[in-house]
Amino acid sequence: MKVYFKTILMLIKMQLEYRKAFIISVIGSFFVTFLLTLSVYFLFEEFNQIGDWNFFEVAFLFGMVYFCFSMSEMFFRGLDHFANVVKSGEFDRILIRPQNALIQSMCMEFDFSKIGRIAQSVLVMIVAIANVNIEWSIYKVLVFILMNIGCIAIFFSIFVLKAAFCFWTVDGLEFMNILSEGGKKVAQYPIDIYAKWFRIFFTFIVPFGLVNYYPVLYLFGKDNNWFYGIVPTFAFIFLIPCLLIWKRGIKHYESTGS
Amino acid sequence: MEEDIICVKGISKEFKISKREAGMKNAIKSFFRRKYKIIKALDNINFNIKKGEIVGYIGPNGAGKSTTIKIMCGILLPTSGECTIDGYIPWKQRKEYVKNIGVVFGQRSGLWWDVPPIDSFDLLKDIYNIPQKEYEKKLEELTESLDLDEIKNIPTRQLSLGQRMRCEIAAALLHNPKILFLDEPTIGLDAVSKLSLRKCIKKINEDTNLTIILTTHDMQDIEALTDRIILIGKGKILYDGSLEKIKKKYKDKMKVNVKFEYTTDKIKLKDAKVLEQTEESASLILRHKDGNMADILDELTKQVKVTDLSIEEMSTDDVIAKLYKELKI
Repeated sequence: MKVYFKTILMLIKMQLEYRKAFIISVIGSFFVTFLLTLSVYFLFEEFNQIGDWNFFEVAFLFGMVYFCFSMSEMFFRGLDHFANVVKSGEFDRILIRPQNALIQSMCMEFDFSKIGRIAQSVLVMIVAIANVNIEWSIYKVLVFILMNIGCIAIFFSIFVLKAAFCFWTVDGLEFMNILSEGGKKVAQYPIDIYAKWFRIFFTFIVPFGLVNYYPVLYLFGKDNNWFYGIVPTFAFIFLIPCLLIWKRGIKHYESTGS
Repeated sequence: MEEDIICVKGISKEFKISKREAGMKNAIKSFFRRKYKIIKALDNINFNIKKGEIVGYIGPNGAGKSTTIKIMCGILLPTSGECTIDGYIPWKQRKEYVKNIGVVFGQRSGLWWDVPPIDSFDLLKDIYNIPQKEYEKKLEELTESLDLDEIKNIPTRQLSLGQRMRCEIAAALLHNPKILFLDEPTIGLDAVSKLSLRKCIKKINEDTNLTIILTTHDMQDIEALTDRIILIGKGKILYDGSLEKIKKKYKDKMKVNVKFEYTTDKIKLKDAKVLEQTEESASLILRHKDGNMADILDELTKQVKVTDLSIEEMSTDDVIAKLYKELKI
């Protein structure tokens, strides 16, 4: 872990060397999320409500999902771009170092400019929280933190899965974006507005519902079942098959070397 | 007698390659039913290497050199066979094993591009868990033997290839490995950098008794660093022994150019064949490898008045090219 943070720190240092490019991408990434926020706002200008949900409640979900996604993109970027690592043969170098291959792959790249998106999504979350009526308690604060960690864990799992597929093929990864990009889009609205099979998929297979919809019901007092608060914990189960596939991927790489 | 540090026994490696013929129809066909072709990249490879030895591992492109290196580094699993390196089986105890080896891929960098090598070294210190004191000592040692003092604080991207390669070697040796794999270390270097790099490698080998396995296409690397070569072609080891011996084998291809005073007499020699003759010059080759050059010259001076003489020895590159051709690899 120490190695991970030290590498990340060095990559940040490297990025700061190109100052202009860095500032431009931070501003750029800030405005990308800002425009997306505006699009949600205009949607509500038209419709006022989506189901039982008002603008600020949806804005909260939106801010949270984008926060978690941007954090994942920043910290796990090496996995997101793992195809390059395999194609260029850099993975050989990872294997000849006495550290965990997954952690090493994670710090192959680091995009510090995503800090712009993170700032924007935090801002959205703060504005949303200020305008939604939440009766805060220590338990609810913990639920809030758990939701975010759980959501990051799901994105992490998807990135691991996407990276693992690179061991078999570096083409056709677009399929994996359905999960990350699609999941992000789906999770920014409460999943009770979707069809049933869709809800089941995003609750039990790729459990985005577990990290925002259910705990938010409890957080906003729409449902006072405290159990909904600890539901995000189950999201971590999704990590297990993803890590197993990653392990299989490495085995496959060792026997084919390409 | 030093003990063997590397034992490779009967290593074979097969790859399954999907076969597809050209054309849309075949593309669709192969999507549903794929035909595989098994390619034998390595076929029963055996060799032992002693501690402190430098070995040149050579062969034409695609012969299986890098596959062997990858197996020895623990990156690839062989289909069959055994390999013990310093008591480890490379692909079984990977994380423990790799602490004992250093690898330099000539065509790929082990350094972080945008920071000075010293920052990369510092990170490697943590990756390999090197205690601070040992690290400082080793760094000082390498700085001296590889002459890094002036270059280790310059961002890697600004270094020349020769300077970078010296840093790459330092990066591979920081954790004090027992074995160093050098994969085409002199590729793309200018003559001066090549010479200085060879000198550094030789010095490190002598000072620290480091075992070095070198793959290269540059025969001068081999000549400067080692006498033992292992020649691989089409996945099989074709020769394991000294370079001198191979060169001797082709001694009969040595060409002698003579110039002499005007004569129209034809030269006739017992041990040499006259390739061509003009009125003032001729070129000859030895008939067999044990032919004695002195005898030939003796005979020659009796027939013509020699004014100038030069011997054209086959370069090592020529020898190897000839060998490849002869072995049909």
